[in-house]
Amino acid sequence: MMTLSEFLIPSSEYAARRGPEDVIVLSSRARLARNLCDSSFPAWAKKPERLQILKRISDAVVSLAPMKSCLLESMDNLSNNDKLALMERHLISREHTARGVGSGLAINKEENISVMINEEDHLRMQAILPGFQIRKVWERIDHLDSELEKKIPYAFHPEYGYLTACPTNLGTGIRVSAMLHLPGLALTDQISQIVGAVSKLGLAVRGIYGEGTDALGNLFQASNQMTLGETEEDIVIRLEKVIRQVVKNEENARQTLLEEKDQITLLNHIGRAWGILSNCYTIETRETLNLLSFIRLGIDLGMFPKGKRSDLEELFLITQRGHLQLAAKENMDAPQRDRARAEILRKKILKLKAPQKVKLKPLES
Amino acid sequence: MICQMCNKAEATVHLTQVVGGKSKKLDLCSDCAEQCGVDDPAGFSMIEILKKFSGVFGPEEPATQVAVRQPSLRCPVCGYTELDMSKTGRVGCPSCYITFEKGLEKALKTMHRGTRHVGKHPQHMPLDGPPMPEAEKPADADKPPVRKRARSTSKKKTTSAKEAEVAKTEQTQNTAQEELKLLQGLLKSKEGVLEEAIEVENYEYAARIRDEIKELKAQLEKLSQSEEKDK
Ligand SMILES: [Zn+2]
Ligand SMILES: [Zn+2]
Repeated sequence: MMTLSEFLIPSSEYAARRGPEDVIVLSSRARLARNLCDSSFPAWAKKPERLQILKRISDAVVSLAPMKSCLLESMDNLSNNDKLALMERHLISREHTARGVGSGLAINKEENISVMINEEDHLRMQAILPGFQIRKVWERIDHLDSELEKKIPYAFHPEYGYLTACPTNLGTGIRVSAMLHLPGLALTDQISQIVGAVSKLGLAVRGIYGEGTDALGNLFQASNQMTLGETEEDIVIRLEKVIRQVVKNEENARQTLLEEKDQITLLNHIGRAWGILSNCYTIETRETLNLLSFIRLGIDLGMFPKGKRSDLEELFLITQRGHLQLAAKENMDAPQRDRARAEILRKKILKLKAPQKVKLKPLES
Repeated sequence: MICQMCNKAEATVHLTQVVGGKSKKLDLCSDCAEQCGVDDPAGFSMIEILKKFSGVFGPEEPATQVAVRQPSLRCPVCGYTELDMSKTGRVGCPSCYITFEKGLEKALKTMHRGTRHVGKHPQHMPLDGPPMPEAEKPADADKPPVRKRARSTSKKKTTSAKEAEVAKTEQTQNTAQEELKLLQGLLKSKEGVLEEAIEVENYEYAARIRDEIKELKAQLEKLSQSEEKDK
Protein backbone atom coordinates (compact mmCIF):
# COMPACT_ATOMS: atom_id res chain seq x y z
CA MET A 1 0.00 0.00 0.00
CA MET A 2 1.06 3.54 -0.76
CA THR A 3 2.11 5.62 2.24
CA LEU A 4 1.06 9.22 2.57
CA SER A 5 4.61 10.50 1.99
CA GLU A 6 4.69 8.61 -1.29
CA PHE A 7 1.39 10.08 -2.36
CA LEU A 8 2.08 13.70 -1.45
CA ILE A 9 3.57 16.07 -4.00
CA PRO A 10 7.20 16.82 -2.96
CA SER A 11 7.41 19.99 -0.89
CA SER A 12 9.59 21.82 -3.43
CA GLU A 13 7.09 21.11 -6.18
CA TYR A 14 4.15 21.95 -3.95
CA ALA A 15 5.69 25.30 -3.02
CA ALA A 16 6.47 26.13 -6.64
CA ARG A 17 2.80 26.26 -7.60
CA ARG A 18 1.85 29.78 -8.56
CA GLY A 19 -1.46 31.53 -9.02
CA PRO A 20 -2.75 34.93 -10.12
CA GLU A 21 -1.92 37.81 -7.76
CA ASP A 22 -0.21 35.47 -5.32
CA VAL A 23 2.18 38.16 -4.13
CA ILE A 24 -0.45 39.20 -1.60
CA VAL A 25 -3.20 36.56 -1.90
CA LEU A 26 -1.41 33.35 -0.95
CA SER A 27 -4.30 30.97 -1.54
CA SER A 28 -8.05 30.73 -2.10
CA ARG A 29 -10.35 28.10 -0.68
CA ALA A 30 -13.99 27.12 -0.85
CA ARG A 31 -15.53 24.44 1.29
CA LEU A 32 -19.02 23.00 1.46
CA ALA A 33 -20.65 21.24 4.40
CA ARG A 34 -23.08 18.45 3.50
CA ASN A 35 -24.85 15.69 5.39
CA LEU A 36 -26.80 12.53 4.74
CA CYS A 37 -30.52 12.97 5.33
CA ASP A 38 -30.95 9.75 7.25
CA SER A 39 -28.14 9.67 9.79
CA SER A 40 -27.20 11.46 12.97
CA PHE A 41 -24.39 13.99 12.68
CA PRO A 42 -20.91 12.55 13.37
CA ALA A 43 -20.54 13.85 16.91
CA TRP A 44 -23.86 12.24 17.92
CA ALA A 45 -23.75 9.08 15.79
CA LYS A 46 -22.32 5.98 17.46
CA LYS A 47 -19.32 4.18 16.02
CA PRO A 48 -21.17 1.57 13.93
CA GLU A 49 -23.31 4.26 12.36
CA ARG A 50 -20.26 6.38 11.65
CA LEU A 51 -18.53 3.41 10.00
CA GLN A 52 -21.58 2.87 7.85
CA ILE A 53 -21.64 6.54 6.83
CA LEU A 54 -17.92 6.47 6.06
CA LYS A 55 -18.41 3.50 3.77
CA ARG A 56 -21.37 5.01 1.93
CA ILE A 57 -19.69 8.35 1.35
CA SER A 58 -16.28 6.91 0.45
CA ASP A 59 -17.84 4.68 -2.20
CA ALA A 60 -19.64 7.65 -3.71
CA VAL A 61 -16.64 9.98 -3.59
CA VAL A 62 -14.13 7.66 -5.26
CA SER A 63 -16.55 7.02 -8.11
CA LEU A 64 -16.44 10.68 -9.17
CA ALA A 65 -14.34 11.73 -12.17
CA PRO A 66 -12.45 14.57 -10.40
CA MET A 67 -11.41 12.12 -7.70
CA LYS A 68 -9.90 9.59 -10.09
CA SER A 69 -6.84 7.92 -8.54
CA CYS A 70 -7.30 9.88 -5.35
CA LEU A 71 -5.94 8.88 -1.99
CA LEU A 72 -8.69 7.46 0.19
CA GLU A 73 -7.77 6.78 3.78
CA SER A 74 -9.43 6.07 7.05
CA MET A 75 -8.12 8.50 9.68
CA ASP A 76 -6.98 5.69 11.97
CA ASN A 77 -4.57 4.52 9.26
CA LEU A 78 -2.66 7.78 9.31
CA SER A 79 0.16 8.59 11.71
CA ASN A 80 0.19 11.80 13.71
CA ASN A 81 2.87 13.20 11.44
CA ASP A 82 0.82 12.34 8.37
CA LYS A 83 -2.12 14.23 9.82
CA LEU A 84 0.02 17.20 10.76
CA ALA A 85 1.54 17.38 7.28
CA LEU A 86 -1.95 17.28 5.74
CA MET A 87 -3.04 20.09 7.99
CA GLU A 88 0.05 22.14 7.14
CA ARG A 89 -0.93 21.80 3.48
CA HIS A 90 -4.45 22.96 4.40
CA LEU A 91 -5.96 19.69 3.19
CA ILE A 92 -7.58 18.81 6.49
CA SER A 93 -8.73 20.86 9.44
CA ARG A 94 -7.16 20.77 12.87
CA GLU A 95 -10.32 19.17 14.21
CA HIS A 96 -9.94 16.36 11.70
CA THR A 97 -6.41 15.53 12.85
CA ALA A 98 -7.96 14.40 16.13
CA ARG A 99 -10.24 11.84 14.46
CA GLY A 100 -9.64 8.14 14.13
CA VAL A 101 -11.89 5.17 13.45
CA GLY A 102 -15.06 6.11 11.59
CA SER A 103 -13.63 9.20 9.92
CA GLY A 104 -11.89 9.41 6.59
CA LEU A 105 -10.34 11.53 3.96
CA ALA A 106 -10.01 11.66 0.18
CA ILE A 107 -7.51 13.84 -1.67
CA ASN A 108 -7.10 14.11 -5.41
CA LYS A 109 -3.69 13.72 -7.04
CA GLU A 110 -3.19 17.44 -7.64
CA GLU A 111 -3.91 18.09 -3.95
CA ASN A 112 -6.41 20.81 -4.74
CA ILE A 113 -9.55 18.93 -3.76
CA SER A 114 -9.98 17.26 -0.42
CA VAL A 115 -12.98 15.60 1.16
CA MET A 116 -13.20 15.07 4.89
CA ILE A 117 -15.67 12.42 5.93
CA ASN A 118 -17.23 12.55 9.38
CA GLU A 119 -15.56 15.71 10.49
CA GLU A 120 -18.11 17.97 12.20
CA ASP A 121 -20.43 17.16 9.30
CA HIS A 122 -20.69 13.93 7.34
CA LEU A 123 -19.02 15.69 4.44
CA ARG A 124 -16.71 18.62 4.24
CA MET A 125 -15.33 19.10 0.77
CA GLN A 126 -12.95 21.81 -0.25
CA ALA A 127 -11.11 23.13 -3.28
CA ILE A 128 -7.89 25.08 -2.75
CA LEU A 129 -5.76 26.91 -5.31
CA PRO A 130 -2.76 29.22 -5.04
CA GLY A 131 -3.36 32.94 -5.56
CA PHE A 132 -6.55 34.91 -5.97
CA GLN A 133 -8.97 32.36 -7.43
CA ILE A 134 -12.06 32.63 -5.28
CA ARG A 135 -14.46 32.08 -8.16
CA LYS A 136 -12.56 29.14 -9.52
CA VAL A 137 -12.44 27.27 -6.22
CA TRP A 138 -16.17 27.81 -5.79
CA GLU A 139 -16.89 26.51 -9.29
CA ARG A 140 -14.75 23.46 -8.73
CA ILE A 141 -16.35 22.48 -5.47
CA ASP A 142 -19.82 23.30 -6.83
CA HIS A 143 -19.20 20.85 -9.64
CA LEU A 144 -18.00 18.12 -7.30
CA ASP A 145 -21.03 18.68 -5.09
CA SER A 146 -23.43 18.43 -8.03
CA GLU A 147 -21.89 15.12 -9.04
CA LEU A 148 -22.01 13.79 -5.51
CA GLU A 149 -25.65 14.67 -4.93
CA LYS A 150 -26.60 12.17 -7.65
CA LYS A 151 -25.12 9.42 -5.50
CA ILE A 152 -26.06 10.22 -1.94
CA PRO A 153 -29.22 11.70 -0.41
CA TYR A 154 -28.37 15.05 1.15
CA ALA A 155 -30.12 16.49 4.15
CA PHE A 156 -31.85 19.46 2.59
CA HIS A 157 -34.74 21.58 3.81
CA PRO A 158 -36.48 23.97 1.43
CA GLU A 159 -36.42 26.77 3.97
CA TYR A 160 -33.15 26.15 5.80
CA GLY A 161 -31.16 24.76 2.88
CA TYR A 162 -28.42 22.22 3.52
CA LEU A 163 -28.70 21.03 7.09
CA THR A 164 -25.49 21.02 9.12
CA ALA A 165 -24.39 19.88 12.55
CA CYS A 166 -23.81 23.45 13.62
CA PRO A 167 -26.44 26.09 12.82
CA THR A 168 -23.66 28.54 11.94
CA ASN A 169 -23.11 26.62 8.68
CA LEU A 170 -26.76 26.18 7.80
CA GLY A 171 -28.08 27.12 4.35
CA THR A 172 -25.41 27.12 1.72
CA GLY A 173 -22.88 25.41 3.98
CA ILE A 174 -20.24 27.39 2.17
CA ARG A 175 -17.09 28.99 3.52
CA VAL A 176 -14.97 30.81 0.98
CA SER A 177 -11.72 32.26 2.17
CA ALA A 178 -8.44 33.73 1.10
CA MET A 179 -5.15 33.80 2.92
CA LEU A 180 -3.63 37.25 2.74
CA HIS A 181 -0.08 38.36 3.46
CA LEU A 182 -0.26 41.96 4.69
CA PRO A 183 3.11 43.10 6.06
CA GLY A 184 2.78 46.53 4.44
CA LEU A 185 -0.46 47.31 6.24
CA ALA A 186 1.04 46.00 9.46
CA LEU A 187 4.18 48.14 9.20
CA THR A 188 2.12 51.23 8.45
CA ASP A 189 -0.29 50.57 11.32
CA GLN A 190 -3.36 50.27 9.15
CA ILE A 191 -4.39 46.72 9.98
CA SER A 192 -7.03 47.38 12.62
CA GLN A 193 -8.60 50.03 10.43
CA ILE A 194 -8.85 47.68 7.46
CA VAL A 195 -10.02 44.74 9.56
CA GLY A 196 -12.74 46.92 11.07
CA ALA A 197 -13.94 48.08 7.67
CA VAL A 198 -14.06 44.55 6.29
CA SER A 199 -15.95 43.15 9.25
CA LYS A 200 -18.70 45.71 8.76
CA LEU A 201 -19.43 43.95 5.49
CA GLY A 202 -20.28 40.70 7.23
CA LEU A 203 -16.92 39.14 6.54
CA ALA A 204 -14.42 37.95 9.10
CA VAL A 205 -10.74 38.72 9.04
CA ARG A 206 -8.64 36.64 11.33
CA GLY A 207 -5.16 37.29 12.47
CA ILE A 208 -3.15 36.06 15.40
CA TYR A 209 -1.56 38.56 17.68
CA GLY A 210 1.53 37.81 19.69
CA GLU A 211 3.18 40.36 21.92
CA GLY A 212 2.66 43.82 20.49
CA THR A 213 0.36 44.65 17.67
CA ASP A 214 1.74 42.65 14.77
CA ALA A 215 -0.14 39.58 13.64
CA LEU A 216 1.72 36.32 13.53
CA GLY A 217 3.46 36.09 10.16
CA ASN A 218 1.36 39.08 9.02
CA LEU A 219 -1.13 36.50 7.83
CA PHE A 220 -4.84 37.15 7.69
CA GLN A 221 -7.66 34.98 6.54
CA ALA A 222 -10.67 36.72 5.06
CA SER A 223 -13.85 34.66 4.83
CA ASN A 224 -17.62 34.86 4.87
CA GLN A 225 -19.24 34.20 8.23
CA MET A 226 -22.88 33.89 7.31
CA THR A 227 -24.27 31.05 5.25
CA LEU A 228 -28.02 31.53 5.38
CA GLY A 229 -30.03 34.16 3.57
CA GLU A 230 -27.81 34.86 0.60
CA THR A 231 -26.67 32.93 -2.44
CA GLU A 232 -23.24 31.42 -2.97
CA GLU A 233 -22.79 33.82 -5.88
CA ASP A 234 -23.47 36.85 -3.66
CA ILE A 235 -20.97 35.61 -1.10
CA VAL A 236 -18.29 34.99 -3.71
CA ILE A 237 -18.76 38.41 -5.31
CA ARG A 238 -18.64 40.22 -2.00
CA LEU A 239 -15.51 38.45 -0.88
CA GLU A 240 -13.83 39.09 -4.23
CA LYS A 241 -14.63 42.76 -4.01
CA VAL A 242 -13.36 43.09 -0.48
CA ILE A 243 -10.15 41.19 -1.17
CA ARG A 244 -9.48 43.32 -4.22
CA GLN A 245 -9.78 46.39 -2.00
CA VAL A 246 -7.49 44.99 0.69
CA VAL A 247 -4.92 44.03 -1.95
CA LYS A 248 -4.97 47.58 -3.27
CA ASN A 249 -4.47 48.94 0.25
CA GLU A 250 -1.56 46.60 0.83
CA GLU A 251 0.03 47.63 -2.46
CA ASN A 252 -0.29 51.28 -1.53
CA ALA A 253 1.21 50.64 1.88
CA ARG A 254 4.19 48.89 0.30
CA GLN A 255 4.67 51.81 -2.06
CA THR A 256 4.56 54.26 0.84
CA LEU A 257 7.24 52.28 2.62
CA LEU A 258 9.42 52.24 -0.48
CA GLU A 259 9.11 56.01 -0.82
CA GLU A 260 10.12 56.60 2.77
CA LYS A 261 13.51 58.25 3.23
CA ASP A 262 16.25 55.60 2.82
CA GLN A 263 13.51 52.94 2.97
CA ILE A 264 14.45 52.83 6.61
CA THR A 265 11.45 50.90 7.99
CA LEU A 266 11.69 48.22 5.34
CA LEU A 267 15.43 47.78 5.54
CA ASN A 268 15.31 47.72 9.31
CA HIS A 269 12.68 44.97 9.53
CA ILE A 270 13.83 42.91 6.59
CA GLY A 271 17.49 43.29 7.51
CA ARG A 272 16.91 42.20 11.10
CA ALA A 273 14.86 39.21 9.91
CA TRP A 274 17.65 38.22 7.57
CA GLY A 275 20.24 38.68 10.31
CA ILE A 276 18.48 36.41 12.77
CA LEU A 277 17.43 33.72 10.32
CA SER A 278 20.87 33.46 8.76
CA ASN A 279 22.51 33.15 12.16
CA CYS A 280 20.08 31.15 14.29
CA TYR A 281 20.84 27.77 15.85
CA THR A 282 17.49 27.17 17.48
CA ILE A 283 14.20 28.83 16.60
CA GLU A 284 10.49 28.37 17.35
CA THR A 285 7.68 28.22 14.81
CA ARG A 286 6.19 31.53 15.82
CA GLU A 287 9.39 33.48 15.44
CA THR A 288 10.04 31.69 12.16
CA LEU A 289 6.67 32.74 10.77
CA ASN A 290 7.22 36.35 11.75
CA LEU A 291 10.71 36.61 10.33
CA LEU A 292 10.01 34.69 7.13
CA SER A 293 7.14 37.08 6.50
CA PHE A 294 9.63 39.93 6.19
CA ILE A 295 11.91 37.87 3.96
CA ARG A 296 8.89 37.21 1.74
CA LEU A 297 8.21 40.94 1.63
CA GLY A 298 11.85 41.59 0.78
CA ILE A 299 11.70 39.14 -2.10
CA ASP A 300 8.43 40.66 -3.37
CA LEU A 301 10.00 44.13 -3.35
CA GLY A 302 13.22 43.03 -5.03
CA MET A 303 15.47 43.54 -2.01
CA PHE A 304 16.93 40.06 -2.44
CA PRO A 305 18.05 39.77 -6.06
CA LYS A 306 18.74 36.06 -5.57
CA GLY A 307 15.52 35.31 -3.71
CA LYS A 308 12.75 33.29 -5.27
CA ARG A 309 9.27 33.11 -3.84
CA SER A 310 9.01 29.36 -4.45
CA ASP A 311 12.12 28.72 -2.30
CA LEU A 312 10.63 30.82 0.42
CA GLU A 313 7.24 29.11 0.32
CA GLU A 314 9.07 25.81 0.59
CA LEU A 315 10.79 27.06 3.75
CA PHE A 316 7.41 27.94 5.24
CA LEU A 317 6.24 24.41 4.56
CA ILE A 318 9.24 22.28 5.53
CA THR A 319 9.96 24.07 8.80
CA GLN A 320 6.57 23.14 10.23
CA ARG A 321 6.31 20.35 12.72
CA GLY A 322 4.68 17.64 10.59
CA HIS A 323 6.87 18.17 7.56
CA LEU A 324 10.00 18.36 9.71
CA GLN A 325 9.21 15.05 11.36
CA LEU A 326 8.10 13.31 8.19
CA ALA A 327 11.37 14.32 6.54
CA ALA A 328 13.38 13.17 9.55
CA LYS A 329 11.31 9.97 9.69
CA GLU A 330 11.15 10.27 13.45
CA ASN A 331 9.40 12.17 16.18
CA MET A 332 11.36 14.95 17.77
CA ASP A 333 10.77 16.90 20.95
CA ALA A 334 10.36 20.65 20.76
CA PRO A 335 14.05 21.59 21.34
CA GLN A 336 15.10 19.07 18.69
CA ARG A 337 12.63 20.52 16.24
CA ASP A 338 13.79 24.05 16.99
CA ARG A 339 17.34 23.01 16.18
CA ALA A 340 16.41 21.16 13.02
CA ARG A 341 14.36 24.15 11.89
CA ALA A 342 17.23 26.56 12.50
CA GLU A 343 19.58 24.29 10.57
CA ILE A 344 17.39 24.44 7.46
CA LEU A 345 16.71 28.17 7.72
CA ARG A 346 20.24 29.29 8.43
CA LYS A 347 21.69 27.68 5.32
CA LYS A 348 18.96 28.80 2.95
CA ILE A 349 18.66 32.36 4.18
CA LEU A 350 22.42 32.91 4.26
CA LYS A 351 22.48 32.24 0.53
CA LEU A 352 20.15 35.20 -0.08
CA LYS A 353 22.76 37.77 1.00
CA ALA A 354 21.74 40.85 3.02
CA PRO A 355 18.82 42.95 1.67
CA GLN A 356 19.54 45.88 -0.63
CA LYS A 357 17.77 49.17 -1.01
CA VAL A 358 15.65 49.08 -4.17
CA LYS A 359 15.45 51.65 -6.93
CA LEU A 360 11.99 53.16 -7.10
CA LYS A 361 9.82 52.37 -10.03
CA PRO A 362 7.57 55.25 -11.07
CA LEU A 363 4.09 54.88 -9.61
CA GLU A 364 1.48 53.56 -12.00
CA SER A 365 -1.29 56.04 -12.48
CA MET B 1 -2.20 38.58 32.19
CA ILE B 2 -3.30 35.03 32.98
CA CYS B 3 -4.29 32.44 30.34
CA GLN B 4 -8.07 32.30 30.04
CA MET B 5 -8.03 28.61 29.31
CA CYS B 6 -5.92 27.00 32.02
CA ASN B 7 -6.07 30.00 34.36
CA LYS B 8 -2.50 29.21 35.38
CA ALA B 9 0.21 30.23 32.98
CA GLU B 10 1.03 33.71 31.75
CA ALA B 11 -0.88 34.57 28.58
CA THR B 12 1.49 35.32 25.72
CA VAL B 13 -0.82 34.85 22.74
CA HIS B 14 -3.66 37.26 22.20
CA LEU B 15 -6.28 36.32 19.69
CA THR B 16 -8.62 38.78 18.13
CA GLN B 17 -11.35 38.12 15.68
CA VAL B 18 -13.75 40.67 14.40
CA VAL B 19 -17.17 39.34 13.53
CA GLY B 20 -20.01 41.59 12.51
CA GLY B 21 -18.20 44.70 13.71
CA LYS B 22 -17.63 43.29 17.20
CA SER B 23 -14.15 42.37 18.24
CA LYS B 24 -13.63 39.32 20.42
CA LYS B 25 -10.48 38.72 22.40
CA LEU B 26 -8.92 35.68 23.93
CA ASP B 27 -5.67 35.56 25.89
CA LEU B 28 -3.82 32.25 26.04
CA CYS B 29 -0.56 30.81 27.26
CA SER B 30 1.65 29.31 24.59
CA ASP B 31 0.79 25.70 25.53
CA CYS B 32 -2.95 26.25 25.33
CA ALA B 33 -2.48 28.25 22.15
CA GLU B 34 -0.67 25.38 20.50
CA GLN B 35 -3.38 22.97 21.58
CA CYS B 36 -5.97 25.15 19.88
CA GLY B 37 -3.94 25.33 16.72
CA VAL B 38 -3.56 29.06 16.71
CA ASP B 39 -0.23 29.08 14.92
CA ASP B 40 -2.12 29.12 11.69
CA PRO B 41 -4.97 31.50 10.93
CA ALA B 42 -6.56 28.92 8.68
CA GLY B 43 -6.26 26.19 11.25
CA PHE B 44 -8.13 27.68 14.13
CA SER B 45 -11.62 28.86 14.51
CA MET B 46 -12.46 31.36 17.17
CA ILE B 47 -15.95 29.94 17.35
CA GLU B 48 -14.57 26.47 18.01
CA ILE B 49 -12.38 27.76 20.80
CA LEU B 50 -15.24 29.77 22.25
CA LYS B 51 -17.44 26.72 22.22
CA LYS B 52 -14.90 24.79 24.23
CA PHE B 53 -14.59 27.52 26.80
CA SER B 54 -17.95 29.14 26.60
CA GLY B 55 -17.71 30.25 30.21
CA VAL B 56 -15.06 32.76 29.32
CA PHE B 57 -17.33 35.13 27.49
CA GLY B 58 -20.38 35.19 29.65
CA PRO B 59 -23.71 33.50 29.12
CA GLU B 60 -24.69 35.02 25.79
CA GLU B 61 -21.61 33.70 24.05
CA PRO B 62 -21.05 31.89 21.79
CA ALA B 63 -23.71 33.07 19.42
CA THR B 64 -24.84 29.50 18.83
CA GLN B 65 -26.02 29.13 22.38
CA VAL B 66 -29.75 28.64 22.36
CA ALA B 67 -32.00 29.52 25.22
CA VAL B 68 -33.57 26.46 26.78
CA ARG B 69 -37.31 26.87 27.07
CA GLN B 70 -38.47 23.34 27.63
CA PRO B 71 -35.70 21.10 28.88
CA SER B 72 -37.85 18.11 28.05
CA LEU B 73 -38.01 18.72 24.30
CA ARG B 74 -36.34 15.77 22.60
CA CYS B 75 -35.78 14.91 18.94
CA PRO B 76 -37.94 11.87 18.17
CA VAL B 77 -35.49 10.69 15.52
CA CYS B 78 -32.11 10.85 17.24
CA GLY B 79 -32.91 11.51 20.89
CA TYR B 80 -31.01 14.79 21.12
CA THR B 81 -32.46 17.17 23.69
CA GLU B 82 -32.67 20.92 23.72
CA LEU B 83 -30.32 20.85 26.68
CA ASP B 84 -27.71 18.97 24.63
CA MET B 85 -28.10 21.62 22.01
CA SER B 86 -27.56 24.51 24.37
CA LYS B 87 -24.45 22.80 25.72
CA THR B 88 -22.79 22.02 22.40
CA GLY B 89 -24.24 24.69 20.12
CA ARG B 90 -24.93 21.88 17.67
CA VAL B 91 -27.80 19.59 16.81
CA GLY B 92 -27.93 15.80 16.65
CA CYS B 93 -29.45 15.01 13.28
CA PRO B 94 -31.18 16.72 10.34
CA SER B 95 -34.60 16.26 11.95
CA CYS B 96 -33.50 18.24 15.00
CA TYR B 97 -33.98 21.37 12.90
CA ILE B 98 -37.68 20.62 12.82
CA THR B 99 -37.92 19.53 16.42
CA PHE B 100 -36.13 22.55 17.81
CA GLU B 101 -37.35 24.95 15.16
CA LYS B 102 -38.78 27.49 17.60
CA GLY B 103 -35.65 27.83 19.67
CA LEU B 104 -33.39 27.84 16.66
CA GLU B 105 -35.13 30.52 14.62
CA LYS B 106 -34.12 33.22 17.05
CA ALA B 107 -30.51 32.07 17.08
CA LEU B 108 -30.44 31.89 13.29
CA LYS B 109 -31.51 35.51 13.05
CA THR B 110 -28.50 36.65 15.04
CA MET B 111 -26.13 34.38 13.17
CA HIS B 112 -27.09 34.91 9.57
CA ARG B 113 -28.14 37.45 7.02
CA GLY B 114 -31.59 35.90 6.77
CA THR B 115 -33.48 32.87 7.95
CA ARG B 116 -34.40 31.54 4.53
CA HIS B 117 -32.12 29.63 2.23
CA VAL B 118 -31.80 31.25 -1.19
CA GLY B 119 -28.78 29.38 -2.55
CA LYS B 120 -28.14 26.13 -4.34
CA HIS B 121 -30.69 23.31 -4.33
CA PRO B 122 -29.96 19.66 -4.98
CA GLN B 123 -31.19 18.70 -8.45
CA HIS B 124 -31.19 14.99 -7.90
CA MET B 125 -33.24 14.06 -4.90
CA PRO B 126 -33.40 10.28 -4.83
CA LEU B 127 -36.94 9.10 -5.50
CA ASP B 128 -36.89 5.90 -3.53
CA GLY B 129 -34.44 7.06 -0.92
CA PRO B 130 -35.21 7.58 2.73
CA PRO B 131 -37.57 10.42 3.61
CA MET B 132 -36.19 13.92 3.34
CA PRO B 133 -36.02 15.80 6.61
CA GLU B 134 -38.55 18.33 5.36
CA ALA B 135 -41.17 15.63 5.72
CA GLU B 136 -40.16 14.88 9.26
CA LYS B 137 -42.14 16.25 12.11
CA PRO B 138 -42.81 15.08 15.62
CA ALA B 139 -46.45 14.09 15.84
CA ASP B 140 -47.07 16.02 19.02
CA ALA B 141 -45.93 19.38 17.66
CA ASP B 142 -48.69 21.86 18.28
CA LYS B 143 -48.42 23.90 15.12
CA PRO B 144 -49.32 23.44 11.49
CA PRO B 145 -47.36 20.56 10.02
CA VAL B 146 -44.58 20.83 7.47
CA ARG B 147 -44.08 24.26 6.17
CA LYS B 148 -43.82 24.07 2.42
CA ARG B 149 -41.76 26.23 0.13
CA ALA B 150 -43.37 29.59 -0.55
CA ARG B 151 -43.85 28.76 -4.20
CA SER B 152 -45.51 25.44 -3.42
CA THR B 153 -49.01 25.31 -4.81
CA SER B 154 -50.14 22.26 -2.91
CA LYS B 155 -51.71 24.28 -0.12
CA LYS B 156 -53.93 27.14 -1.07
CA LYS B 157 -54.70 29.99 1.25
CA THR B 158 -57.93 29.31 3.01
CA THR B 159 -60.60 31.99 2.89
CA SER B 160 -63.38 30.70 5.10
CA ALA B 161 -63.49 28.95 8.41
CA LYS B 162 -65.01 25.89 6.82
CA GLU B 163 -62.31 25.62 4.21
CA ALA B 164 -59.76 26.07 6.92
CA GLU B 165 -61.30 23.18 8.78
CA VAL B 166 -61.08 20.99 5.69
CA ALA B 167 -57.51 22.01 5.10
CA LYS B 168 -56.65 21.19 8.69
CA THR B 169 -57.94 17.65 8.44
CA GLU B 170 -56.08 17.22 5.21
CA GLN B 171 -52.92 18.42 6.86
CA THR B 172 -53.33 16.10 9.80
CA GLN B 173 -53.66 13.18 7.44
CA ASN B 174 -50.58 14.33 5.57
CA THR B 175 -48.63 14.49 8.80
CA ALA B 176 -49.68 11.00 9.76
CA GLN B 177 -48.61 9.66 6.41
CA GLU B 178 -45.39 11.56 6.55
CA GLU B 179 -44.67 10.24 9.99
CA LEU B 180 -45.37 6.72 8.81
CA LYS B 181 -42.90 7.21 6.00
CA LEU B 182 -40.39 8.67 8.37
CA LEU B 183 -40.66 5.82 10.81
CA GLN B 184 -40.28 3.28 8.04
CA GLY B 185 -37.15 5.00 6.79
CA LEU B 186 -35.79 5.18 10.28
CA LEU B 187 -36.50 1.52 10.92
CA LYS B 188 -34.61 0.60 7.79
CA SER B 189 -31.54 2.57 8.74
CA LYS B 190 -31.61 1.30 12.34
CA GLU B 191 -31.68 -2.25 11.04
CA GLY B 192 -28.58 -1.46 9.01
CA VAL B 193 -26.90 -0.03 12.08
CA LEU B 194 -27.82 -3.14 14.08
CA GLU B 195 -26.18 -5.40 11.52
CA GLU B 196 -23.11 -3.22 11.55
CA ALA B 197 -23.00 -3.23 15.35
CA ILE B 198 -23.13 -7.01 15.47
CA GLU B 199 -20.43 -7.20 12.83
CA VAL B 200 -18.01 -5.14 14.91
CA GLU B 201 -19.11 -7.08 17.99
CA ASN B 202 -20.42 -4.07 19.84
CA TYR B 203 -23.16 -6.05 21.54
CA GLU B 204 -23.99 -3.47 24.14
CA TYR B 205 -24.83 -0.98 21.43
CA ALA B 206 -26.56 -3.64 19.36
CA ALA B 207 -28.85 -4.38 22.28
CA ARG B 208 -29.76 -0.72 22.54
CA ILE B 209 -30.53 -0.54 18.84
CA ARG B 210 -32.59 -3.71 19.06
CA ASP B 211 -34.72 -2.11 21.76
CA GLU B 212 -35.12 0.98 19.66
CA ILE B 213 -36.20 -1.13 16.72
CA LYS B 214 -38.74 -2.90 18.88
CA GLU B 215 -40.14 0.42 19.99
CA LEU B 216 -40.21 1.70 16.43
CA LYS B 217 -42.10 -1.34 15.22
CA ALA B 218 -44.68 -0.89 17.94
CA GLN B 219 -45.06 2.77 17.02
CA LEU B 220 -45.43 1.85 13.37
CA GLU B 221 -48.12 -0.68 14.12
CA LYS B 222 -50.08 1.78 16.24
CA LEU B 223 -49.83 4.39 13.55
CA SER B 224 -50.98 2.16 10.70
CA GLN B 225 -53.90 0.95 12.82
CA SER B 226 -55.12 4.48 13.45
CA GLU B 227 -54.70 5.19 9.74
CA GLU B 228 -57.02 2.27 8.96
CA LYS B 229 -59.58 3.58 11.44
CA ASP B 230 -59.62 7.01 9.83
CA LYS B 231 -60.58 5.51 6.48
ZN1 LIG C 1 -3.09 28.09 29.35
ZN1 LIG D 1 -32.43 14.73 15.88
